[in-house]
Amino acid sequence: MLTKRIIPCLDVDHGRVVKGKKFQNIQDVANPVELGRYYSEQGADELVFYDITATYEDRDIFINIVEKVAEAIRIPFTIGGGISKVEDFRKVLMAGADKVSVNSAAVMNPQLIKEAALKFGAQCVVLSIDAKRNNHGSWDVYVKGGRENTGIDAIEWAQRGQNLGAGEICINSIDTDGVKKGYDLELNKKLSDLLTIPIIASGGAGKMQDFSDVLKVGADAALAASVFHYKEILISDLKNYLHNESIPVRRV
Amino acid sequence: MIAIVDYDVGNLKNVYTALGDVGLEGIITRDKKVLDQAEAIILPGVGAFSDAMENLKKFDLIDTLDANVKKGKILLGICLGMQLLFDKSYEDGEFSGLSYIPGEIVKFTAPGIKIPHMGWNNLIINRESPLVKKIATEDYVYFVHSYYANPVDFNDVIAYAEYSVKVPGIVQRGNVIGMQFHPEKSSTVGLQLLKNFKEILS
Repeated sequence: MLTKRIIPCLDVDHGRVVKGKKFQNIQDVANPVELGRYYSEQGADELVFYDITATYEDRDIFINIVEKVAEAIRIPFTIGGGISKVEDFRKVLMAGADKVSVNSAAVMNPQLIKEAALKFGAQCVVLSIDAKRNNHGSWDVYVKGGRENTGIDAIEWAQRGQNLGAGEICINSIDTDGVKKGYDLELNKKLSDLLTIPIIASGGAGKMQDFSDVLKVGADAALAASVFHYKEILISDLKNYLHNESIPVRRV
Repeated sequence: MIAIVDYDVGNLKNVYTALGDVGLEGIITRDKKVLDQAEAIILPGVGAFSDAMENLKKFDLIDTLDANVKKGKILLGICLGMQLLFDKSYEDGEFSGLSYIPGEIVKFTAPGIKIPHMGWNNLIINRESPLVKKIATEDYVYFVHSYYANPVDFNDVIAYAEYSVKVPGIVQRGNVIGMQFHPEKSSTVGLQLLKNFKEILS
């Protein structure tokens, strides 16, 4: 039986893993290679790295780290952050990534999804969406690290991403990100019901029940950062908990 | 020495690294002499079936693969590389494969399932083989694919996963082996499978 996935996410800046709240107050945490290996051995189902650096020089440091992490882990590895053209996909895939997550650049140029899916296969194209609730009972797509509202409807954008060839959607709720009060269940349920590609829920994990809740409404995977980094939740404990909740998981 | 066929279908380094984990020396190559001399050949691959076949033709590798398979050398296809071992695929059209194992590559069609079949699924043993030594039903491997193999003879399937249909995970016909999932991305279970692969070489 196909299991639900638990995915630790690491934000990398200047070669270090960092984690902020609501995209701000960023704090230094750890060495990405050590942390990557730790999660791989602990039973994480995948690993996601976001490059949150902006400058060109830092980009090379990041690629170097991707190579080292890819050598250290034996689970699927997704890279995001700063991906804006097909060439960027090629670079990180060649460095050892299995999937590439694209966000703002796909909003500006949706054809990027199609081009990348045709060139490298839909399985490696993850459309990452930063969504925030508006006052009309729906969600808007934000870009540039959550700073700019595009006014685009998040559900429609996810649907379009699927049609353009994305293999997976990662939905990050800005409202719940870093707050640790649970994932946005309504948003994740709507997307899971509507789409035929897998959904990764992101933003809001604080306790084990939060994972269980979002996986039960239909998300195929749940992503989290700080609860894992600070060892508030151990992946092995979480898998046992989910197993007892009758959610299919891979336990190691 | 194990030749990992380099035909421009994505990064092959992860396969190379995982071979190293089990003490196998890999070489990423499209040199026919190296393929002829290799102890075994691994055909990896991600992306679209037709592109992959086109690239095998472009690098003039099909005759070399055919000749090596004919003389009994072990060939392991991984993911798309496994699908290429069959007669044909219906991915975005109808395309001929290498025809080492009779059967076709078809799309998942069951209503309500998510496509791609993406994530960790458990292997169910269909028939005993040294390839699945120490592999139990609770052992999970990492799949990511939208099309699956439908072999003419299900006895060519060593292990499968359940995903609306019986999805062949490991296939074998004589010296030709295929793995639909990624052993190099399947943690300790993947390494056990590569160890088993190593043992059948000796």
